[in-house]
Amino acid sequence: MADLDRREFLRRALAASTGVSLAASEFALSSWKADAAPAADLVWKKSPCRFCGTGCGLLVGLAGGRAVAVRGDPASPVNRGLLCVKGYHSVQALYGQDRLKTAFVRTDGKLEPVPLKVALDLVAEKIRETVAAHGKDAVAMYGSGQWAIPDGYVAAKFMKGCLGTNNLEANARLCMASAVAGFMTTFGADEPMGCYEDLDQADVYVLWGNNMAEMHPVLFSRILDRKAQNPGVRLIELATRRTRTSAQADRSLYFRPQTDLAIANAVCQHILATGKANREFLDRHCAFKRGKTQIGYGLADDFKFQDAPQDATFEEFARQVGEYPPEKVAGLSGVRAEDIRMLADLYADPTRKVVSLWCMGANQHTRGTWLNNLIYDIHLLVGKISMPGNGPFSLTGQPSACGTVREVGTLTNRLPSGMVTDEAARRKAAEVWNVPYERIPAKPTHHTVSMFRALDRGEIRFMWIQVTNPLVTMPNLRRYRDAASKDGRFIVVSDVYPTPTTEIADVILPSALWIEREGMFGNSERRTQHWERMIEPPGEATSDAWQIIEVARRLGFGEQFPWPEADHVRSIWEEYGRFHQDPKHALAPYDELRRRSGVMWPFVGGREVRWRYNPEHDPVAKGPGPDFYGNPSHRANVWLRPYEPPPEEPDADYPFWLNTGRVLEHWHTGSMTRRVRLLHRAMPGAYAELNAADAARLGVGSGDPVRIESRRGSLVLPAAVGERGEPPPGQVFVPFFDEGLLVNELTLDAFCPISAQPDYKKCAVRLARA
Amino acid sequence: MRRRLSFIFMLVLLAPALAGASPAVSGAGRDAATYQERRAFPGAPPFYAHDLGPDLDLDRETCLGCHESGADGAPVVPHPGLPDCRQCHVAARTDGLFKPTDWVTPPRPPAVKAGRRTAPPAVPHAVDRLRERCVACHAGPTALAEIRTPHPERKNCLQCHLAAAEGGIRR
Repeated sequence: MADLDRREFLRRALAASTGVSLAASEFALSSWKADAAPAADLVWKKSPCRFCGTGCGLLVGLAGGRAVAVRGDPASPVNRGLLCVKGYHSVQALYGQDRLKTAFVRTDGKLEPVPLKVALDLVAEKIRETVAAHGKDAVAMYGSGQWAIPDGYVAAKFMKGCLGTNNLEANARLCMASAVAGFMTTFGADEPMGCYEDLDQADVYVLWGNNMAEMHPVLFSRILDRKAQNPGVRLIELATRRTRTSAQADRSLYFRPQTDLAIANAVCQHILATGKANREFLDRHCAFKRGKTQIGYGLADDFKFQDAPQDATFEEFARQVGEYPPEKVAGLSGVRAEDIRMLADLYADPTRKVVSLWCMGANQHTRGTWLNNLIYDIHLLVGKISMPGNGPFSLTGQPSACGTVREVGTLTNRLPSGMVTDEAARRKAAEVWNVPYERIPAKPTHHTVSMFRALDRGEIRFMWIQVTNPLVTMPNLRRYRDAASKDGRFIVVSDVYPTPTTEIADVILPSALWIEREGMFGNSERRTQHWERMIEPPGEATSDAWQIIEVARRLGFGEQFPWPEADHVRSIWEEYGRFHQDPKHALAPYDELRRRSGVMWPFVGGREVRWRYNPEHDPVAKGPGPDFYGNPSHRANVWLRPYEPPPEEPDADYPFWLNTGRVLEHWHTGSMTRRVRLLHRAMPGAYAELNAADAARLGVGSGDPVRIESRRGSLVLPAAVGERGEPPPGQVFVPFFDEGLLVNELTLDAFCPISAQPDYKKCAVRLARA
Repeated sequence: MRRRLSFIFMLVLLAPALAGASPAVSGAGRDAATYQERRAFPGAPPFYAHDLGPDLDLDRETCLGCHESGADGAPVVPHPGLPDCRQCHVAARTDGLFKPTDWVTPPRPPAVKAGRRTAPPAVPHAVDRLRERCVACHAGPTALAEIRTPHPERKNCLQCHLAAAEGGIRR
């Protein structure tokens, strides 16, 4: 209740400070206003979409200093002029009346508006105080894949190069870390080898737990177009619930949560058992590896894990997958043996090109790294990789999870070119950043869950959160909300709207949103996309990068951040480019980015490399066949990864699986999309999606209140039966976008020990009619 | 908190009523106000104001059953080749707002006045993948009177009406 009061206070304070009447046009019927702007021609400017990792090209229509319309950019190879409903309405997210336009500082328990300069002075002073009293590792920064590249670059330089702490993490840890760990352990280099053109050329599409119809609709439409033109094309889905994607799939293989690990092993087993493995490819281009097993779930604060990779042989791999014949896996997974064989045969068929796609289903998994490895194993076994229309493709959820978090390296263990543990990477960073080499610490500190636990224990005292909403998204949320609210913790939140995270802030900094500042994102297919500043940010709002620069200067790091505000993005891009000059990762020059609707890296000799490792496309690769040059051996690793059970499974007390996720209409925690009228009207609140048989047994119909209870919390939601999706009996699905119905109070903060990415898809709950 | 929950329950309970219980809502006689009410800005995908039955049973063919031909007065789709209707077109389950908004957009293109015209007017909007079938909006019973063509029998629209206005991108 106190939280709601504070929110209400915040709204009023904002309204008072900006002169906006809260009542005005609250329920205005139409927003088409002849006097809103001259009805003359609009000016159209290009930008990537603000929302998901697909990275659709938009044209934003501008008039009278405002964004007033959106079209799909026909020049963008990502989407070719088509968008989804979020993209078309994206610019409306700029205009919620409760935009944060001024800074706030908590005084006597209340957030009071202050001039931005005063708030920035206080942030710098608190960092100085915290370092003096508790050491530099008591200061932390937490951002996200929504950071534009300049924001993430400035954050890394400030935290690692200036303050000298590796306490830098991002929401991408909750989203993409297993994908990164999968790429690094298999290929020694992050990010997909192929590109979206693969979606136009494959004969078989296999979705590993990915509801693409709602999560990546524009890419899904490319697959549907391909299918419509080529009746032989097959779309096979592995899923735990029936969705709009299932409705379009040729076959849906519904599996019990976690058993995707066993199914992937069974696919490998069947490929070997039928003699369809490409032995020549394996001999020339692959190495076999095994790691630790029984690796735990990270539930205890003192959990530590370090894998110990060892060489293995083809025979050992064959023995391992031999433990998973389809008949045996059918019993575990609930997928019929003949369907597993059908899937394996499609992968192995030499006449068909196969693309595998996955996102949160495989990544938010306590064995997420293993599952990523296993999907690569399948493609490597049959040699279908790094060729047009043939390959594994890891999709992303945030607009710059790749461009910013993964490429700049805004994670505790990363630097812009390599790992913090690597001396050469530290020396390079020190040289580019103009800081003493000794200042950049060689040891990673905390991944995201560990960082919030350290905040709880008091080892971290100061946290600056930018462009994300952890008090909606952290699993086992209550622990981390209580942690952030403890005495002796100082939380700074940079955001564009009030959220449950700004509610607990000691300082709120108003951020410029998307086209209110210049920036770049990097999408799932290695495409860097620039946009210019198109409109003025409201009030004193300024970019996340510029907020950090202002604070860094106050702390005496002006020499590291010398750029004038007018062209700092160009200067940052040029400095950042010094980390990526290698033709394995060369980035396009600034002017090229300004001109084009996105440019893929590696960008070598004026050409985009569309298929890395493929000597016909990648100038670094030496043939014949793919050259997996990310590993010193120039071979891809085929990993032996077994099935292991999840940390928590339904039992007599908590008999249901809880699965969480997104819906088409809302992006991430909904702080932007819920402020878009059409999107909110279509999807106004969270719900508990039930199987009809379970609903009947509980005596609830759609709209009736259901109490969901886990070992960590409970929540009452309206039931949804026969609506957007349909879980099997014994499972309930809840979307996480609704800040009024926080499903993460129920989820478990177990994570993949290799990637440290939590599993939001599986925990045990019980249900009752409320 | 309880007030908020009950509000959400109310929305969910009201949803079928708000979405319109009758499956066929005639588009005939649409006026500019309805046209604007369903779109956030000119060229934005409109929401649908009718019930569609169970979500998972719905496919493109169901939508095109009415929107391909204009059966029962349904507005005709100007981009029949696109594969997934609900990628862009969503329901309206509540009329409420999460938070008030300052969004405004100019009514563009300005309504074309009929008569007293000596040359064919240029197309004041992009002609792209989304508007590949001119007659969907400019002819037939669901076309707005303001933009209805007096000569729907002439099939090659772009022969006389030049498409230019939104084509260029200023960078």
